[in-house]
Amino acid sequence: MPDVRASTPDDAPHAHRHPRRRARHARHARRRAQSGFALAALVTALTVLTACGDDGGSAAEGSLTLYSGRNEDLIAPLLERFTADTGIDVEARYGNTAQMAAQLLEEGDRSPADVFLAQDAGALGAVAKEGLFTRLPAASLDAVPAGFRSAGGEWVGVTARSRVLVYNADAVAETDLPASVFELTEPRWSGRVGVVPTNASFQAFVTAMTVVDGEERTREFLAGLADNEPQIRDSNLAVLEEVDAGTLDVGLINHYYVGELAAERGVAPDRLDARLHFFPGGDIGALVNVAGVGVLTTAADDPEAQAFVDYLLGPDAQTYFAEQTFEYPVVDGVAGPSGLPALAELTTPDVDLNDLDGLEGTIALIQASGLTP
Amino acid sequence: MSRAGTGGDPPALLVRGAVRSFGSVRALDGLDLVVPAGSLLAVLGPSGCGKTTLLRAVAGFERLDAGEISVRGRTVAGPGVHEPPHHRRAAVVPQEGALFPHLDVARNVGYGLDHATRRSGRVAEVLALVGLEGYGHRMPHQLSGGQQQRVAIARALAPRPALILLDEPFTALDAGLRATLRREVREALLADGTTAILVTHDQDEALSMADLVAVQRAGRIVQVDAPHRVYSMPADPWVAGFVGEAALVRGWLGDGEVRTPLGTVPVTGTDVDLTDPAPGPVPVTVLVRPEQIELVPADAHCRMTPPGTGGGQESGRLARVVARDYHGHEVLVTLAVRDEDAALAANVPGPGAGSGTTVSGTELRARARVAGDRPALEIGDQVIARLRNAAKVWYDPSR
Amino acid sequence: MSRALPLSRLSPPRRPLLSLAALGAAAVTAIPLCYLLVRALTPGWAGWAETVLTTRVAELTARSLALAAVVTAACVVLGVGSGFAVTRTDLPARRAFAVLAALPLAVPTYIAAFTWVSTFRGMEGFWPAALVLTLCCYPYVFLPVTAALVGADPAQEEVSASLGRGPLRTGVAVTLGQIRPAIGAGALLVALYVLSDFGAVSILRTDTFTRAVFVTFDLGFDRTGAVLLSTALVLLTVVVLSAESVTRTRHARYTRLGSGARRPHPRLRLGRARLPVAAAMAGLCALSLGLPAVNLARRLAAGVSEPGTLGEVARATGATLWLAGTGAALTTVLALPVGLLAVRSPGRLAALLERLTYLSHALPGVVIGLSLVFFGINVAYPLYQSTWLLALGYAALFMPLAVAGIAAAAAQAPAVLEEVASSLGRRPLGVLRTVTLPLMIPGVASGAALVFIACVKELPATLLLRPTGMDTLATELWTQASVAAYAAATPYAALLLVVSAGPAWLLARRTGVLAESGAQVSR
Repeated sequence: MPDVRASTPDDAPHAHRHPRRRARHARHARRRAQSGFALAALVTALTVLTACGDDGGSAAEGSLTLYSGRNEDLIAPLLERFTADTGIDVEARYGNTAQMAAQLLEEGDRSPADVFLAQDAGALGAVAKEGLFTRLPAASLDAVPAGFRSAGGEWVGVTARSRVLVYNADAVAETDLPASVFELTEPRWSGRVGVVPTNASFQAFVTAMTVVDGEERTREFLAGLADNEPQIRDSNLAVLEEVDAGTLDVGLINHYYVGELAAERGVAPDRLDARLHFFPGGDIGALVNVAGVGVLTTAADDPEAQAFVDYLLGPDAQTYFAEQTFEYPVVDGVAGPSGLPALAELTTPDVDLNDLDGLEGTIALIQASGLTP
Repeated sequence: MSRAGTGGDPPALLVRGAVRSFGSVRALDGLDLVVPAGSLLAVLGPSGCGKTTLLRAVAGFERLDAGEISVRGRTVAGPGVHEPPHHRRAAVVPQEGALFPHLDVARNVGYGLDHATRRSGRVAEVLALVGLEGYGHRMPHQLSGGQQQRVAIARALAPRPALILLDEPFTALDAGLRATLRREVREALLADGTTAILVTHDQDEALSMADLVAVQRAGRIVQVDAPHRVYSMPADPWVAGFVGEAALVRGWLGDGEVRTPLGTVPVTGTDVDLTDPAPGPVPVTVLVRPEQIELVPADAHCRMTPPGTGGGQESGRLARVVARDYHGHEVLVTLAVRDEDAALAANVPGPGAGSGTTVSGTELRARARVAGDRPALEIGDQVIARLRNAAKVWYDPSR
Repeated sequence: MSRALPLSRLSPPRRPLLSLAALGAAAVTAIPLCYLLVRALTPGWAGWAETVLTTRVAELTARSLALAAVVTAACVVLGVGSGFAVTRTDLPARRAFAVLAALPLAVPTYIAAFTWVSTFRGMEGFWPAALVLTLCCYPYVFLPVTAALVGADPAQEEVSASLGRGPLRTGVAVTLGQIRPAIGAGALLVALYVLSDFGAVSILRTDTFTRAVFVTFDLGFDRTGAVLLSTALVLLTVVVLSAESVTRTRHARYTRLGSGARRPHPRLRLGRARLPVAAAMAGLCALSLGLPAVNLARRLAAGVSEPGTLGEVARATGATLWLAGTGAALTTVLALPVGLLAVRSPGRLAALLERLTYLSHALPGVVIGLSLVFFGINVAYPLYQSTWLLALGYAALFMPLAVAGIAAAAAQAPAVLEEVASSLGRRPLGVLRTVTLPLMIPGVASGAALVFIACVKELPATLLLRPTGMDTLATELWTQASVAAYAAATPYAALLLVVSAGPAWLLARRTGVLAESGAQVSR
């Protein structure tokens, strides 16, 4: 199936996928719909038509409206647990993070949303900049490392993801792996590197590079990459699949996609031909970014919204992310995803995510390099 | 003959001073018309004379710029009044019938009826009137063109409208069918006592079907009369030329007779003052219908006695046959008469007039009818052409 | 009067109520344009010029226009060719081919593009995108052309043949003339669709305007930049529409009333070419339908993810039927006065309103979505995130699909029938109910079917505008596909095709090709 937007949602997989089980669906039989259900579904559909009338814009009292830029497959089960734990109903709206941010900006202070869960810091920053987020309490902010939250306190990271080089184990020997992302402009990588320049994660990576290594070096890197016959793809998943299939040797993606593909194949991540290479020594190629959450000003005094943020930062949700989405937890005391080096063991570049809001310059750089339209 | 209602009833239709313009074109230019109740009136005019506009204005599809229309004494259009079509009780029968293709014949015919009337047998009644009993369940596409047109007429008759407006309803049909259908439609309209207005450019249709013929020209009605009077006593030379074959020749009026190059005949009609004390002959335009010209072969002329009818003093003119149109029962021959004094051709005003007259140099052309059983005249034959019967004349416009 | 024109042609009747209704309907499609105007005013002229008057935009313009031109030309060739094959030749199984040729309408470009890119590695760029768009869009030409070929008066072709012109020259001179309006209408829809398409160009990486708009949204959350680019897209659409207006010749609509049973067209005996032509048709169907189907099956077999309970799948199907049904109904109702006005009261106003509906058709779904978010928040808050606002969004996107059908349908119900009906004493509404609508329903229904299919496939505006908590087949497909759960996505994709297949079959049937007798074969 295609990803139909420009950027792939940077969403993590279930290690062991379950069908979504939202509370209101719980009463449905847990029969697996595998085959031959198409006609039956059509007939059934007619009977539920009436149930699909208008839903009101805003949630009822004692409940919460969540705008989720993260995938429904991943978030819905978590919301069920939250509701089971707290008794708070969640009305969730799922969509593309960037377009949802745009929607929030259009809605302004009439937004029905209470909470925005986004898959990258950039989108959170864009909404925060318009003053649509309320300041979170210190307790929430202090739960995560300073680099993983907004300096102004408008949003807080929920999970961490690392940029990686994915490589085909048959095509590239471990010893041949580059020590730095800058090596990918060398001739020996010509025509071998999968890149997704339209993706927000790539974007954040480039921004971080300008912060750490300077604009000139970044420009050179992008130009070198563009001249090195990069294999440009539409989504991180496409790059990963090709690397796994051996049609690409390496690719620049986020780490957790390997978990996603492994889940679809029904195997453990280390059984794939695609392997992860974390650039060592604080190289910018191993940038760690977050998916995070913010509370809209309209819900500033809403205890349910705060309860949800607390829940996301609590051990239950953090463990869920580590196990199901292959992402790194951001609070202390929760184990990371199995089969991956712990976040603490990695030498990650020292970048404050709050410094990554210079997106316009980044876009100009990427466009100037010819990697994107 | 006219079936016009008695004097007390309001006319079925009264149009007064109707004006309707399309841009710079005045399709109706102060038109007046009265249609007596119960009559079948044909509006006859050339293409583009505004007759369809008249029909559409009466039906309510066009708004008048000025003037007034009343149906059975009720004003339906006038200053500040424009009744919508569905209130006018004027049912139209368009050129191609325009049956509702999704309804069967019975439902087409019953379309203008309420539920009660539909069940009362009216549908069967009007279908019988047009000779289509038992066709109620056919769909329009299963009918021939003539049958479709009959259904369209039955549909218009069914709700007993104040007026039926027929817009060239027979033009799409072939000639043989047309004649039959005209007769049948006339009978159906008569039987139902309806007032009908038939718009047509076909003079045969108008003359054969209608009680009254209204001749329309350039947005005005120029004559309303019984068909035979429109033919024999046209209001002006233009009407004469438009209705039937006509040659218009110069003549000189005096002593109740008109002297023409083709002979001298009495004068009919009241358009000229026979007691005019003018000194000497007065120049006039003479209407010559083909049946008024008597032909005698030139070689036989010497042996012939002067013709008994018409009282002509002169013995006619030598003419040459230049064309002949064979019609079976008769032959229409076109004659060329040498016109040495260039005085034969009448001065005829108006557009499209003098259809039977062609003036070419010093020749006058006129057409004459010869019975089909007479010896054939060949092109090039010399004949003596002589006028007979009383003729319609007009003073020259200069007078 | 010197001209013998029917008077109705001289003075199109003024219809104030109809005009008002059409104005109201067109206002819906003007919502996105107003939104773009409001947003474009923020950065002002200088900001606009800075974003739009660049070499990059010039390149995007050239590439978008080139893609639209190539795809449109290819769709005309495929659409006319296959239309001719199923209506005028002794092609075997031509009824089956007629239905199969309409079905690619049901295939979203994102599914088709994904199929191609995962079947043939490294397939990307301008020409692959043109190929995929052509395979998805040619039914837009095939359907009206087939209907025109079936409905064309055989007498004209017979006259041409009797004047000594062979089948080929008759085809070019007469038949092509008869179907030219149909080709034009279909080609315009294709061209505008290509301008607005995101699925194929994004997956096959061809940089068009719409892709640039989406990328600008996603990169750096640059709403203003995306809006400014969209204004340029509107201008581009105006160019396409003007070009189309220039080449368009108003054809006199000729309704043969009461002509009795229509003669079938003589069929061209293909002879030795019969099998090759059939093979070409089969190949076309294999590429446009078979390939996606095989790919879906392969994905289903390879993956272990599961789509969720039967209840969830049924719910998504129900929601899709409900939303697409509501969207198609609202769009059709709004398109009715616009289409009727265009036929019954042609003039500057009617033409302007009709063209206006085309403008928003070429805008990317995300722009339509955001503009209705803007409209919902600021003007119609009670409708916000309700089915009705989404239906309005669908109307803004897809109205031209319905307008075209309604205009054709209105020609089936000529004004003279309404005049007769009102002269028989029926009120205007009664006439509408008993004459106009019954005659128009088949044509209106095919317009609605086109809109329905488009709504079923639509994703970006649906994501932005759907009621909270409502999932459709398209959104579920997107949800699953974006986490590589391809096996779970497959049933949704399959259902999406199934749901659209019914209306697509209806559209094929409406052309009349299925009912046409196949007996007569010319020597």
